[in-house]
Amino acid sequence: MDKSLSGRRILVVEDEMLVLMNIEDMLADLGCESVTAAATVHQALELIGSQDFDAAMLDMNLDGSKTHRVAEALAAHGVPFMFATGYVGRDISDGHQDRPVLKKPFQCHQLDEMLEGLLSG
Amino acid sequence: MDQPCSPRDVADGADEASYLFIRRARGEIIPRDVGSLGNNEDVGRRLRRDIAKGERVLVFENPVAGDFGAQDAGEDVGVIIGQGSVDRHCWFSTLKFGTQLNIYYSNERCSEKVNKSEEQEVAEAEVEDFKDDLGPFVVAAETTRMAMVFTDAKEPDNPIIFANDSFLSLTGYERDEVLGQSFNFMMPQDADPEALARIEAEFKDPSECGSEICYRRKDGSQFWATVFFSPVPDESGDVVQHFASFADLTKHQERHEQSRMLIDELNHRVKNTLSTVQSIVSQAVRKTSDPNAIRESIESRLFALSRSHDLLTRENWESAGLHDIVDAALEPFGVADGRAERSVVTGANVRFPPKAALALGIAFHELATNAVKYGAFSNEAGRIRVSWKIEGDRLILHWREVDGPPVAPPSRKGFGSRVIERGLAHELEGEVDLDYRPDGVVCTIDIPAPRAACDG
Repeated sequence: MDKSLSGRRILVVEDEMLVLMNIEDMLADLGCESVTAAATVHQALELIGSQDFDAAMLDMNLDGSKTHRVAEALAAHGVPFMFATGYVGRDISDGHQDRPVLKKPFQCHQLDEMLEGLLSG
Repeated sequence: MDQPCSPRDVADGADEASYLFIRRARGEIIPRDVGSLGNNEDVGRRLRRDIAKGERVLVFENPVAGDFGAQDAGEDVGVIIGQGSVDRHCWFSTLKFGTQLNIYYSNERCSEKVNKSEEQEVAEAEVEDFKDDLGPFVVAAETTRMAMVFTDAKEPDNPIIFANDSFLSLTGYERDEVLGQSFNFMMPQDADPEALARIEAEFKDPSECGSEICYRRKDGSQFWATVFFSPVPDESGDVVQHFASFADLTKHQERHEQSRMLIDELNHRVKNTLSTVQSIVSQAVRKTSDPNAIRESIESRLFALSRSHDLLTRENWESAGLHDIVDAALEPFGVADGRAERSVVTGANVRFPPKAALALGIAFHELATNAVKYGAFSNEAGRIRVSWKIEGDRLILHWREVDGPPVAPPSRKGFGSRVIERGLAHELEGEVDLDYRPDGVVCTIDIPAPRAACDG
């Protein structure tokens, strides 16, 4: 497995526990030891304000609560991020249409490629 | 001014129109030469429209300049077209080109009776006119549930000269607020120029499929309608009126919008469920390479997920009760071997929203699976007690296993304990403690109580 994410600090904002577990496993496989998870907009905002991250992935719809506030906080802190969503195409937060979108469900190599893109950008 | 004229007088006229038609608007008297109006039928139509719009119309016989001077611009002069027994509507409809009109005017106010029903009478007169031309079709137009109007094709802006009851109930306007108005009077202020252009084009060359237009009702609310246009020609083939019918799309649009939302929501749930299944499969293959064990691991969790879905489907995906969630998780294990009596579940059926219900369903499934493999359900005597209560804004739940075989903490944490301890705590923003006590597993779940449960 590719270990290029070694030493990178990734924030995963995802509220579904089983989905989050799978993402954590994928990231571990990719060599990323430092994964921080947030399940709510509130948690995510606190983490972004108190810790440094190299990249983030953001579920577009945290149990109905739109995540644009988290997207804005990440942008303000200069943290590159991608959206993850089960929605098709639309519903991208205003002002963040240029961010990469990972469609659920996704494979490990798709996650890897997108993170590589974020980290090299 | 001596004799009131009768409808017959009007119809029996000479061969020349000799009257002047004037209109007073905003305090001004605007004389207009009848000669510029084409023929007398136009005069009648114009008069009716002006009356319908609430404007005062005066008609003079053989007018001289002094007649205008005699009228005080500020005075509220009633509309008198003929007097006494004259049936104005009959008068209008029998006007023919070249008719000599014996028309009288008066400075007296119109009688209350005339005032009161003026608009109504005018509207009825329109219908009478149409009936002359179209017979039973007018009755159909009046009574159909489809909203319809006729407009005057010879005037700019196509003023409405007939509106049926369905049109009024669709738009919320009274008839006298509609008659005489431009066809486009219900377009929003910021109407799409493209829509206006389409209406313009439809008047010139109506399409078979009509045009979908967004309108504003009197109360300001919007509605969509497909508008179908048809020209109404006179004997000589000139288009004198336009007929427009409105198919209300409100319900159609609402249903369309609703089904789009449902499809979006369904898609979202399906994608999330597929992601969950992906996770379940992934966890299963990480743990073992034994195909049977992998299959058992995947299937049991898919069934647990499926039972939670059933529970939520029964409740329209609004919520599921905690008691039902625990029962559903224990059910596949309890049915066999008479274990049902060995589990006691006590607590109010607190409602949880769908996502929390699914997470709890999976967590209890993992606890039950563990109990069957290593805990209280793995021998003949063990029992499981599940109980909870609301404390302030928290819900505290205890899963206690007793009388099972001695418990040893697992050498490494598997999927189950990871789901219960980390996953559930993460998803429900709570604290979960899984304690492998020697005399039986105790799991304490401390989570925010659902808002509805706190309220009452």
